[in-house]
Amino acid sequence: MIIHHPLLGPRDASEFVYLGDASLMNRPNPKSETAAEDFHRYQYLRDNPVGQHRELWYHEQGDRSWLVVTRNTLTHDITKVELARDVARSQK
Amino acid sequence: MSKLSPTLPLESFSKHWPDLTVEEHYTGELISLAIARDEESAFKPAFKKTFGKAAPEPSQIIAVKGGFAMWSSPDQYLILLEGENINADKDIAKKMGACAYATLQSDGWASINVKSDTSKNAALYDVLERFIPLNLRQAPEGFATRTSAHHIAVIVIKYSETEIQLLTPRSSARSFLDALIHTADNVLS
Amino acid sequence: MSLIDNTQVLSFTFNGKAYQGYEGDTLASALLRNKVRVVGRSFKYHRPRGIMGVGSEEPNALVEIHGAGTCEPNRRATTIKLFDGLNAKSQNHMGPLNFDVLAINDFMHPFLAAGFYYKTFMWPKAFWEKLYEPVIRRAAGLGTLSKAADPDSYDKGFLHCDTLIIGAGPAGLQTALNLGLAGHNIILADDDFRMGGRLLSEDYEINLAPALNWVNETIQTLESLPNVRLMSRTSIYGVYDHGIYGGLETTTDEIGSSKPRHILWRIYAKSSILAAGATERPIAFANNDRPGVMLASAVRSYKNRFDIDLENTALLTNNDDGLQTDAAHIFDTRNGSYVTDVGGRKGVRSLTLNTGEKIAANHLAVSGGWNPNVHLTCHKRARPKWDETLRCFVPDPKTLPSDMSVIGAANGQFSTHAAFKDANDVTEKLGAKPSSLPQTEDAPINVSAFWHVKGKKRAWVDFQNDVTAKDITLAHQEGFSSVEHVKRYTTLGMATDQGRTSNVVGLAVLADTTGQSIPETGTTIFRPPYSPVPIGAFAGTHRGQHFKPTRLTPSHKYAAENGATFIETGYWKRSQWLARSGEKGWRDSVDREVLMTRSSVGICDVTTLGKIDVQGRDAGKFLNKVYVNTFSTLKVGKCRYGLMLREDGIAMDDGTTARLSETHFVTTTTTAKAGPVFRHLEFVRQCLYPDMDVHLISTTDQWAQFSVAGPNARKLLEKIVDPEFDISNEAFPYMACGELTICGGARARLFRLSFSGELAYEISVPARYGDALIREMMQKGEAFDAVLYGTEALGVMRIEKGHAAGNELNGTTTAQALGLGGFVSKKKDCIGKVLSQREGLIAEDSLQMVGFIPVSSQDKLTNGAHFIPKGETPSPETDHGYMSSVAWSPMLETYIGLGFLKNGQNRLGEVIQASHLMGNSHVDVTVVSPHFFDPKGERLRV
Repeated sequence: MIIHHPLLGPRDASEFVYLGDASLMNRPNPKSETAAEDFHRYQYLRDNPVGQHRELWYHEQGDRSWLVVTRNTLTHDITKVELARDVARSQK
Repeated sequence: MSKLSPTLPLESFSKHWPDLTVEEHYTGELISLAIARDEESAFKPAFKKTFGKAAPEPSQIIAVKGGFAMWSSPDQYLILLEGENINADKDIAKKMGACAYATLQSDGWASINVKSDTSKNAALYDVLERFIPLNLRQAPEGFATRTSAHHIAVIVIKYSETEIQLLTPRSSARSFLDALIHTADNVLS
Repeated sequence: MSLIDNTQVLSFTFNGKAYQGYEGDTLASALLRNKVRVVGRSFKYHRPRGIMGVGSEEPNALVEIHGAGTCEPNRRATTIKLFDGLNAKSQNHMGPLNFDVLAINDFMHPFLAAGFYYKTFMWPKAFWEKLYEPVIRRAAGLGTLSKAADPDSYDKGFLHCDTLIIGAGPAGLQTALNLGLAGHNIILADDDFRMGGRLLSEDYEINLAPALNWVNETIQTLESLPNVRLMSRTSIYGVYDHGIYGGLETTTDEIGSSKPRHILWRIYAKSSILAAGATERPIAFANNDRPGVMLASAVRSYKNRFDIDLENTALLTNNDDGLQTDAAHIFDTRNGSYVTDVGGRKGVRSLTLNTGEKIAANHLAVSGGWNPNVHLTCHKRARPKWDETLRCFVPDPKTLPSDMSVIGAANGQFSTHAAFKDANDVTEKLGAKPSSLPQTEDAPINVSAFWHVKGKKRAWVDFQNDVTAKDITLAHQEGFSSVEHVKRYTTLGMATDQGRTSNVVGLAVLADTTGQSIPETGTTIFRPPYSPVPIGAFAGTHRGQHFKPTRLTPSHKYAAENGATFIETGYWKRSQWLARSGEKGWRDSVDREVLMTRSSVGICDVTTLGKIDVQGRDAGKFLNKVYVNTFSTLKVGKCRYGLMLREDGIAMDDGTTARLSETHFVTTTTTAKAGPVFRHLEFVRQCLYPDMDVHLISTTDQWAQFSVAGPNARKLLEKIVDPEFDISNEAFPYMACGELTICGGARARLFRLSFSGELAYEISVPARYGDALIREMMQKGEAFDAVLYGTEALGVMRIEKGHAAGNELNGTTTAQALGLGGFVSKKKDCIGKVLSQREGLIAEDSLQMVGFIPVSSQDKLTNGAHFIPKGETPSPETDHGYMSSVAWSPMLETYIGLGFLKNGQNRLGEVIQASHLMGNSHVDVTVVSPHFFDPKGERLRV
């Protein structure tokens, strides 16, 4: 696959390491009363959609930035690539 | 001068083929420079003052005071300074002030120059297309980025149509060089 | 118009017999010119077979090439470019080709129909392993493996272009010419060694001159354009995501050549044009597999391109295209004439017609229509659609990949004029100006629906896998009626030719059997590779020494000079021990290294442990998030041990972190986890806490680092460290760190850390000084009998001290299990904190790390042994834990072990059994504290 890095342009997916669902960016509040349940869900429960999937890729053999990639799991079409840091900041 | 003599990672290696030279190239010092969070507005003028130019864009290397600077990640640059100065990181940190953090990187990388004499159909592209996945033929002069070749990290710098510099981690530099020579032999021998 | 150069004579052998051919021949054409009719035996029935086709569609002529002491099986004689000295052999016969013992199978054919192996060889049961399987194994398969090392080399590469044109026939050449002249960066690839496609084999005219003139002029123009890359003998075998294509370039068929034999190309193309042409299909009738029955287009190729006249040829055709073939007798099914049988087991002698008449003939050219080569369109799940007029499958524009266009015969546009028109159309679509349309033939194909002749005798559909029309009927009878089931049950289309000449005929037979139409029957689709790719090509240069990179430490050269035995730790080579003369085995060396270090001083290269530079105003806060303990409180000039958890509460890694300034830490990891920890830290930094001011950079290779350990460690270092720096115990106590200079001004860092439990330091210099430093230290160390020690001695000493390492941080253990439960700060959150509190992980009887000593001092301990209470039989129910690290302790003169035992901390003194079931050893051990040597840590702090 080819991932269009927002700053570097198209790069082969082999330069990257795949982590998984982008929901991993939303680490639960450890102080919450439901923390144990929240962390269990965060760590172990995943949707497995056919279609659009937002996921985390790490550009290990490149600029070491984490990216949020929106990819169709059936066709592999990638429609959006964002710097994870920008996504994380905008979510705060 | 201390008693300890420095050693180059590839012991000044050099080899020639028709229209191709591959040789170790002493780079001076390499310093990684990171922008402190929320200090972009202080960083820009500090960089300009220290290096004489605005910081480079992604995938770019530019000539600056003392050497070159390339973009390496959203908040980091790699500075290539001419000359030996084991404390170059501290000197730069002092010049840049609190808006930046500097780390010495010179010893972490080996530097290999790949050169051709002819600019038309330069042999170096015939060799590098077997080795590096990027489109080096079409890349502009001043193109610089990091990728991997044969499972080893490499920073590729296209100084001109006939000269490309490859930086690769020191510990695996021998393997990297062996793979590059093997490839050049396959293409040119 | 022949492309044979008969001034260049080439010598070759086939089955040991010498022949001659010419430059421009394939092995197949050379054999035909030498009137070799039988070239192999069929897969199942071992029937004599001859050459049927002319290109990669060839199903019969599979040969082995021999050279350089090895052999390459299953090569099609039609795709081997003849070279001087070629040695080829036929395959799949027991005994000589002309007298194959296994031809008995042909006479047993009623018992060997499709699916016979599902119904036979089942009784008696014992016979399977002892008789049936070995016999079948010997008889099965095509070709033999030489089992010798592969003498060929391979290479890989990467290409980038605007457009990849697949196929250099008229459509591909015209497109390449248009786009090339317009300045586009293009690659034109064709799997033949000459470009031109069918134009090389048909007697056509272009612009009132022989077509070959146009081909040669076009190629000349293309060769002159710097933005055009011509790749002949390059098969585009796979279409992958996002415009990535796989190409296999063949440089020679000669085995053991000094240059890479194949180059595997990864091609990045913004768009592609499939101009791969079409493959002719035969008609099925009785004994249609006899040597001499050939595709009509192949007969024309052999005549026009290879200058071979096949004697006494008849023609069977259901379309106009076949009529181009020169033949003494013509049987056109549209006129009601066809062939019902072929006589001549080792070569056609006679043909029986539907009228009953029998005529003499030596070759039969058969044309059943043409199938566009749609395979590459299917690699991304496109489904071809049936064209009722052309009676073939064509690409369906609705399902094509958006970046691929199909032109010419591959798109069902069979005439040369149509190919040129398609080329010009697609050129305009890609935004370039096409050149003028060449003037040439535009004949329609007019194919009729005549697929097979029903009859009692076997009529072949898949020649390579020996599948007949009867097999397809039988499959349907047995309930395997869907096209996917018929394929697998009969093996139709599953051989190395992947059904090129058989799929569509097979579908027609199936449709006829079920009463459905061909579109209703459907078709199987294709996945990469289009044609076989040697596994060596996927490996490229990564073999032997080049299989993976090697990382060397700064002291590697010195260690090698001093007798080191190296061990691979990931990509690193580390000294395992350094033998001295007189030492008989590794234990002698390792025991000595431990004793020398603990009695005086030892030096070990620890550069391989990951080093990460952490800088920023929030560096301490960041480290608090990733470690279980607190680092923001660490004073400048001090080090602290840290344990890192995964988010699920399991220990990930440990290391020591030194604080060099308010905003500057250096954190270490284990060797194996350097990469994954860095990745994890960047995830935490960028994705979880993007507002922190913290920056990370790996400095593992930047700093050479040596552990200097033993009672004389400080004395040795005082000879290295420059005099203005005070490293006395008062000025530089245990866990201190600092920047200093050594050997007259060389930049260095010193950390007072101890893995061995001795008075110890780690001294770090920029790697450029690494070699010089180890030599200097060993030279200065001579006064103290300093010893260079390796990973084994390092391991023994840390086990003696009860320090957890990789064996204990094995991905299943928690901080609590490691005895570090109290180390986890209660005052703050960290990665893994919440889930580490899950009841299963903190239960009373959960595993805890403790030490083990054999009750009897002669007994050996075995790593991986499981702990069973005395008197119990080893079983999952009685399993109380396992041994994780074992060593002979020179200090205690006994074996010692670390391991995990249920509720271990509360069972000190208990005698338990350590059972290693694979080694069948059961040793009584006493549960003890893991801190075997100097448990109070007195030696550390002197």
